[in-house]
Amino acid sequence: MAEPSFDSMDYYKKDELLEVDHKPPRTSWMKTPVEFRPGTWIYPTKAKHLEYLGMPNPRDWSPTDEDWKLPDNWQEIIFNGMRERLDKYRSFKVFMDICVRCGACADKCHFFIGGGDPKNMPVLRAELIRSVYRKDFTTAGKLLGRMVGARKLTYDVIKEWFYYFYQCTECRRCSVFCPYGIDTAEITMMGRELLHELGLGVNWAMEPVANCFRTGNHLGIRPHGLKDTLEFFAEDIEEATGISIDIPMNKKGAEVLFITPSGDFLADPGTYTCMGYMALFHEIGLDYTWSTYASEGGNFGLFTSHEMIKRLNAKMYAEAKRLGVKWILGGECGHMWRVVNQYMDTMNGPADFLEVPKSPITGTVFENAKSTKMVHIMEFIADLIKHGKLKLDASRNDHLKVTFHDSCNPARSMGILEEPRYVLKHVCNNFYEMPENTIREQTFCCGGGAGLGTDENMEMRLRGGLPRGSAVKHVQDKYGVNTLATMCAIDRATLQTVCDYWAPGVGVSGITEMVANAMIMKGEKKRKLNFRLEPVWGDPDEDEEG
Amino acid sequence: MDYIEKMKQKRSSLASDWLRRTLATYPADARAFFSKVNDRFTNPVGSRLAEGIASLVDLILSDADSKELCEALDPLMQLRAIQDFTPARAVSFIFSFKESLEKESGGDINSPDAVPAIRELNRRVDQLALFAFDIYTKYKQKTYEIRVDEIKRSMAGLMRRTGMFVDEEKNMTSRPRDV
Repeated sequence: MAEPSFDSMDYYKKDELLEVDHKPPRTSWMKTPVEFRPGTWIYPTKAKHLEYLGMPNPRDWSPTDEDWKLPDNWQEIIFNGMRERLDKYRSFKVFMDICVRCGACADKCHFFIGGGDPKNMPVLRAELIRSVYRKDFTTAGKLLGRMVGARKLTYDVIKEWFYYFYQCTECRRCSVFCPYGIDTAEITMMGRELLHELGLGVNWAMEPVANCFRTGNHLGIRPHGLKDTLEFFAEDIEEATGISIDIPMNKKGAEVLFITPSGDFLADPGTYTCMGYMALFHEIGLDYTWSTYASEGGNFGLFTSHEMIKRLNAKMYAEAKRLGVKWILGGECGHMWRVVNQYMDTMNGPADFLEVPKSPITGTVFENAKSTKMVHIMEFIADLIKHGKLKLDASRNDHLKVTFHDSCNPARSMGILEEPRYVLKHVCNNFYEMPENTIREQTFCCGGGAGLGTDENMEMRLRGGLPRGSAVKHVQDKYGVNTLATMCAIDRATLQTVCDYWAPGVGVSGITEMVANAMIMKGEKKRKLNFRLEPVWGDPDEDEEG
Repeated sequence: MDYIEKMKQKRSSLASDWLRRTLATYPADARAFFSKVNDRFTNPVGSRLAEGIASLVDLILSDADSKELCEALDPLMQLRAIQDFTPARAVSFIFSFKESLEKESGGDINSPDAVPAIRELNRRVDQLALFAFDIYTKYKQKTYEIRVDEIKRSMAGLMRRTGMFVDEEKNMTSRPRDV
C-alpha cells in the first residue's frame, strides 16, 4: 500500500531520490492513497474504552497496519449508516447536495493554510464523503461515476476518512465564508459517526468520553480527587492572598451550580483560572456549589456522535435537578458552549425545573439564557464589572501585555465577542488586538480542537497553528505582547505549545485568572504573589513594611 | 560590470524563479494558493516563502555573513520542518537557486568573469544548504521539546501536589517569559 517511510532503509532504494527536484504526486486526489507518517495522525481508541461505552468493533489496532480489522460487512454498515443519517439529519442531506464548488472555503482552513494538503480544503474534505454519496445515493453518480465526482467506497477511502476527519477541528471558520452556509464541522461529525460504526476513533477523544461516562469528567477524577484538588487550590489562594476560602461541594439548595472543564483541575495554566473562579465566588459571596458528578463542562461526545453528546451532557441538568439549584454557571470552555447553545436544550431540555438565570449580586436577568438556564462566566463577570461590584486594580497586571484569542466555539457558535474584551480592558492596561482578519468570527483555530489536542500529531497541529501563531508573533513584535488570553481549556493547553513554536516568549492565560489577580479582595494581605505564586508585586521574603 | 553585479540587477526575476521552483515542492492546489501573497495573516506560508526568498537572493549576491543568512533562512526552515516533507525534501529548495541562476544568466554565463563568480555563488548556496539542515534540525528538536513540555503542563497540578517537579522554574513553561 503506502510507500516506505523515510526512516526505513527501503525508502532509500528508490531511484527518484537521485533527483534533487522533488515534486509531489501528480495523481488526482481520488487516486492518491493516504500515507500515515508519524506526527500527522492520532492513536486509535483502545478496545477497553469502546467496550466500556458499548460501541461497535472494539479491538486494538493501528492506522499503520495494512489490516484495520473491520467487520466483514463494513461497506454495508457504512451505507446503512449514511442512509440513516441522510433521513435523520436534513442538514447532512442538504450539505451533500448543495455545494457548487465555488472555492470560497478552499483557503480558509488553518490546516490547508499551514500545510498545503489539498484534502484539507473544506470543499475537498466534504468531497471525501460526497463522492461516495454520489456513487450510491444519486442517479447521476450511479450512471456517470467519476465524471460527476462519484467514486466507490473502498478500503482506502475509509483510511482516508480516518486521516482527514481527524484533521478537522470542527472550528467552522470555513462555514463563515460559504455562501450557502455549509457547515463542514457537521460533515466531519457525520464522517466520524460513520467511522465509529466500524470501531474507528481516536483514543485522545474516546478515553475522556469513557472516563466522563464513568466518573463525570474527562480526566477520570473521582469525587475525593476533585475535593483534594480544589483544597490544594484553596491553599495556594491563601498563600497568595492570606484569605481562606470555602469550597462548597455537592451542596443541596445552592443557588447556582458551577461547571467548568476538568482540564482546569490539572493542566497549567487552566489551574490558575480555576483558582480565579474560586477567589471570585468567595469575594462576591456567591451561593454556589461544585459537583463531583457534573464535574465536566466539556463534552467530547461532540467529537464522537450526537448520541454521545446527549449521553454526556445529560448529567448537567440531572445534577442541577438533584441539587435543586436555580440555574447553572459555566466556566471558560470552548466546545462546551457549542453544546450548551446549540444542542443541550433540544437534546436534554427543556430544563423547566430551573429558573431564568438572575445574578444574585446585580439583579441582572440573563434573558439570553432563558431557555438553556446556563450563563457564561464572561457574561457573569462583565455584568459584575458593569455594576461596579468588583474592586479592580488593573495595574496589577501591568507586567502583562495582552492580546485575546477568540476561541472558535464561543466566537462562531455563540457570538460571545464583546464580553471577554470588556472584561480584559478592565483588568489590564495593556491590551492589543491581533489583525482584524484573524479575530472575532474570523478567528483562527488553535489547531488542537475537536479531539486533536493530543501530542502524537504535533507536526499536524503546528501546521494548523501557523495562522494563529503568525498573528500572535505580529503583536509580539509590534507591541511587545507577552500574554495570550483565551477562554477555552483546550486553547489554554494547546496554544501555549503553538506560541512556544511560532511566537516563543508569549505565555497563555485564562481571563478569570487575570480578573482574580486584578481583584482587590476584602481582607487580603499585601499582595506580592500572583495566583501562579510568582513574586510579580514584590519580594515575598521582605517584611510587610519593607 | 561583473557577473555578480549583473545578477544583482536581475534580483527580482531571480527571486521569482527561485520562488516558483520552491513552490513546485508543494501540491498543485497549494501552489496556486501559496503564490497569491495577498495577506501575510491569511496566507502566512506564501508570504514567508516570498519574503524569505527575496532576502536570501540579496544576501547570497552580497556575500552576507552566516548570521544574516541564518536569520533570513530561519522562518523558512521553521515552516518546512513541520510541513509534509522528508528532511531531504525540506532543504531541497535551496539547491534550486543554482538552476534559477543558470536560467537568469542567459548569455552572461559565458562572460570571462562568470566561471569564478558562479563557483563562488555555488559555494555560498552549498553553505546555505548546510545552514538549512542545522535550522531544520533545531526546529525538529523544538517540536519534541514542546511536546514534552505540553505533557508536563497537562498534569502540572498533580506533579506540583506530589512534589514531582525537580525544577519548577524549568518545567513550568506556561508563564510569560519576561516576568
